[in-house]
Amino acid sequence: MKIGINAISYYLPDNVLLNEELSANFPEWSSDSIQRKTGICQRHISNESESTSDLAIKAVNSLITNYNINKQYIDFIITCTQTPDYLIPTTACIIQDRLGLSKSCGALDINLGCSGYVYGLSLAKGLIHSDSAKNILLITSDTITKFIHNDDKGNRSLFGDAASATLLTSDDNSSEIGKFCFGTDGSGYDNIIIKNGGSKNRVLNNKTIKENNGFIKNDDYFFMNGKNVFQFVTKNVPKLINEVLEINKINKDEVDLFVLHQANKQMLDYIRVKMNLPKDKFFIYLDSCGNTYSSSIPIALNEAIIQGKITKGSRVLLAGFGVGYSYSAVIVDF
Amino acid sequence: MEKNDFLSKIKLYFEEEPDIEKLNYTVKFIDLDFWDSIAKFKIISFVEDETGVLIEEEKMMSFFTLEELYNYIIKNIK
Repeated sequence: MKIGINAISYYLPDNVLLNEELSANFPEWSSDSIQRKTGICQRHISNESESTSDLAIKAVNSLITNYNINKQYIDFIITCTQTPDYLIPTTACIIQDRLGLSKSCGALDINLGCSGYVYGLSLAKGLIHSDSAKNILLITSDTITKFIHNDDKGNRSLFGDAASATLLTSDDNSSEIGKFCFGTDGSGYDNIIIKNGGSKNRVLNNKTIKENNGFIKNDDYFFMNGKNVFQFVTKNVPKLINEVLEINKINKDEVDLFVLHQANKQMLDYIRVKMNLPKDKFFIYLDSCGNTYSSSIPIALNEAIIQGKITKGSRVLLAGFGVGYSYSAVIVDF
Repeated sequence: MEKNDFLSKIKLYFEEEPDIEKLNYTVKFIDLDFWDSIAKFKIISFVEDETGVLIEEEKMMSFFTLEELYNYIIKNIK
């Protein structure tokens, strides 16, 4: 029996931040240059009253409606988020109750960012394979823009909020999830970080430093060291892709579509050129939603299916990478 | 790495930039429309990937042209 992705949907908040608005706030950047550098035209921003579980519920409801799913069959929820509703409790438990799912349903959160979707697939596959669950709801949901400082032009131009919902099951008609590769390099932990608010630095200090390059730093908010992250990704992700190809005993020409974490266009282009991958097999979906953190891979996957780039029989390579540093890849045969 | 090969390989990484054809060994980086921090990161990664030479961001900022960068790489390549 194959274990795979049975259905997938996503949700983007209604509120949109356009390049023109960013350019008005930061006149040194034109809207055209933001689009050219990032590949992004707009990002969706959760409003003040919209939490991570709100986005998740909307993504799940879209999945249930689009695929006519009986939610009582869902026996496990995995929620991947780094922006939970609360530090305690687990967001997956809140979602179980709000969706009215069975009380015999297992529920857990994974605290991972851009690599989290692939990790979530691996946990779901393991749970089904071990006969511990049959119909698993894998949710990704992040409201990362709530943690980006209003004056942080770099990250505001890149990130957007979103949620996705994927149903994983075991049946002969579903796709088949292959073997995974994982990687971790915790020495890079402080290159993508929100330093304050956790148990290490409990108190927020609301101290903003303006750096020489015009960027700002405030430890209460999301920080990313662009140069270090760029170097980490361009060095490690091609190796990760080669490893997952090798472990699944296929060569890159046998992959129909590469769907990587949609970090930004420059980074994705670099990986594509370095690995000599054809443009038409390298899916980019950034323009209308930006980098949606944990949801970027499932959103791209869903869009590739909608656009007909993934059909029955397609072989797809998924690769996530980022905060941690954490990375992961897998092959899925649709 | 041979000089022409170095230039043509760098251009591949910027193939989507409208003014990439302006890049040669003498044009000043700052005169290129696409020259920004991401372009510097791309070149730093490219140089390390292709030659093994590590360039710090500050060092990269001290080069005005590709000629200066290339000469530094040739001196430091192992």
